[in-house]
Amino acid sequence: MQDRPSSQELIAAVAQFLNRELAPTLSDPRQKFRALVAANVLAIVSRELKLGDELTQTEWHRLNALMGDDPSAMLRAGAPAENLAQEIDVMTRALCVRIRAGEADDSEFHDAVFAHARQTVIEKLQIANPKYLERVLHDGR
Amino acid sequence: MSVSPIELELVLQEKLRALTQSEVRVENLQILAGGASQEMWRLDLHVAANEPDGDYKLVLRRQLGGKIYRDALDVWREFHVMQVAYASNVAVPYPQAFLPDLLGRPAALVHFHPGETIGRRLVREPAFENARKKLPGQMGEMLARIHQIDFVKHALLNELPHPPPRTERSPQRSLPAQENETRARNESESLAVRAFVPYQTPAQWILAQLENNLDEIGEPHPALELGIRWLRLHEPAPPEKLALIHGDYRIGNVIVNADGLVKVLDWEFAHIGDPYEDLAWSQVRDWRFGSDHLRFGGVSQPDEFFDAYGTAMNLQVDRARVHYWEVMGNARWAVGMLNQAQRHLRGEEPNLEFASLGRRCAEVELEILGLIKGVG
Repeated sequence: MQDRPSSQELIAAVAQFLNRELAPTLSDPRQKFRALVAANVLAIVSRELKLGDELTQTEWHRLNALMGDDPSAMLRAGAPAENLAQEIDVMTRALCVRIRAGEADDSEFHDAVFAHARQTVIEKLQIANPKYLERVLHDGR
Repeated sequence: MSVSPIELELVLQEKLRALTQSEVRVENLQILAGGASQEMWRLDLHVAANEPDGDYKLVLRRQLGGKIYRDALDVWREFHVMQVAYASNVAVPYPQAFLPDLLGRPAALVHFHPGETIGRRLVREPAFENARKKLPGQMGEMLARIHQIDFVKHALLNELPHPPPRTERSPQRSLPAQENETRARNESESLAVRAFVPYQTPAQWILAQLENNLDEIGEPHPALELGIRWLRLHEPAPPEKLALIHGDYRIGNVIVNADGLVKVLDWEFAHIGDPYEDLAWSQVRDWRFGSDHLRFGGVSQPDEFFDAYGTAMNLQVDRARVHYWEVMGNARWAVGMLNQAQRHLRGEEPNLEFASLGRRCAEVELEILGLIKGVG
């Protein structure tokens, strides 16, 4: 058990330093922009620490349902998140091969693949850019 | 990583002294927000031998490590395309000089023009209200000038990326026979045999590049694969004529002042292809800079842009084709973002902005799914 500040609190402290202390002192607009990008990257890391494991679980279950009869699907619920990520990677590669081969061109499988791909992208944006996600979904997408 | 201004100034002075055979002074060297594959500097040059007209306001573009797309032009070929465009009455900064080796990398000097290039400012700031009214018409008319450049006459066909002959692995459609013959006839004589070889269509050519590129990156992206698959299944008839494509024609890559369009920049993605590629690129959501409801670059609805282009080209812009190429543009940009992240990850060009683009790919993937949902 580590002392406080927690990893989240440390990240927040660095982001605050970049945004409020460093960026205003930089006269080179390029460096200033990079300081703001750096702060934004830390916000992504912070959201991933908070939501990442749960979203990985969700994606793994969804992929298993989608690819259940695919040899790449390894049904081992409750494995540690790191293994889940590896399994997601293997199953997603298999899915991509099937899409490119035209196996998801139509029928129910197409709809299921489309829904899965869309949900996965939404979950990535919940971490990478929730503001953008909200704006675009609001737009009727 | 960029070089130090002091070092650059000294070396640049030395090179330009040799080139102009005159005393020269390089001043006010200042780094600018860069392009995708190049580092950009603003500078003033004084050439003693040319007095009283020896003062030049210039921009230096210097090659960076790695490229966003394999087919991106190096600085020399981009310089040559700008020369051709300049000679063809396209509003492009005058390409002043090419330096084959500036601190180990090629570089080009072009004229500087005051004005705004930052997309976010152009779509928002009240100062550009008049410019926003004029840009769609001006950019449509200017794009027609680019597409009317005789790329064969200017010997650009062999210099620029273009759809290759069909191979066993690229079946389906080919270009119209007449087009193939014209193209082959005008290529160098040693390639005349190509008159009988069908060419890949521009769309198939780009899709094959995107698939290969994705395989090289090695990350699975189902949403992007769905987009590419949709593009494979919905390809329109091939274009009647190929054109010189700018390849990055949008708000953000043009200099704008209160009266609208000043100059067209960033020619590093120029190639030979389908004119609709350029027509659709400015509609891609990421190039609307947050003003999403205005489909032409966050500036306006696209009607005036298409009308101006259509009038100048004497044709009617086909909206279904624009939609197809808008999906293509998004797919290409999604892969471009992954490539930029790879350039950082592979250590070719360590850069925080490039790294962060890897996490922005999902934005474009969501857009692709939205565009292809329920269409065709």
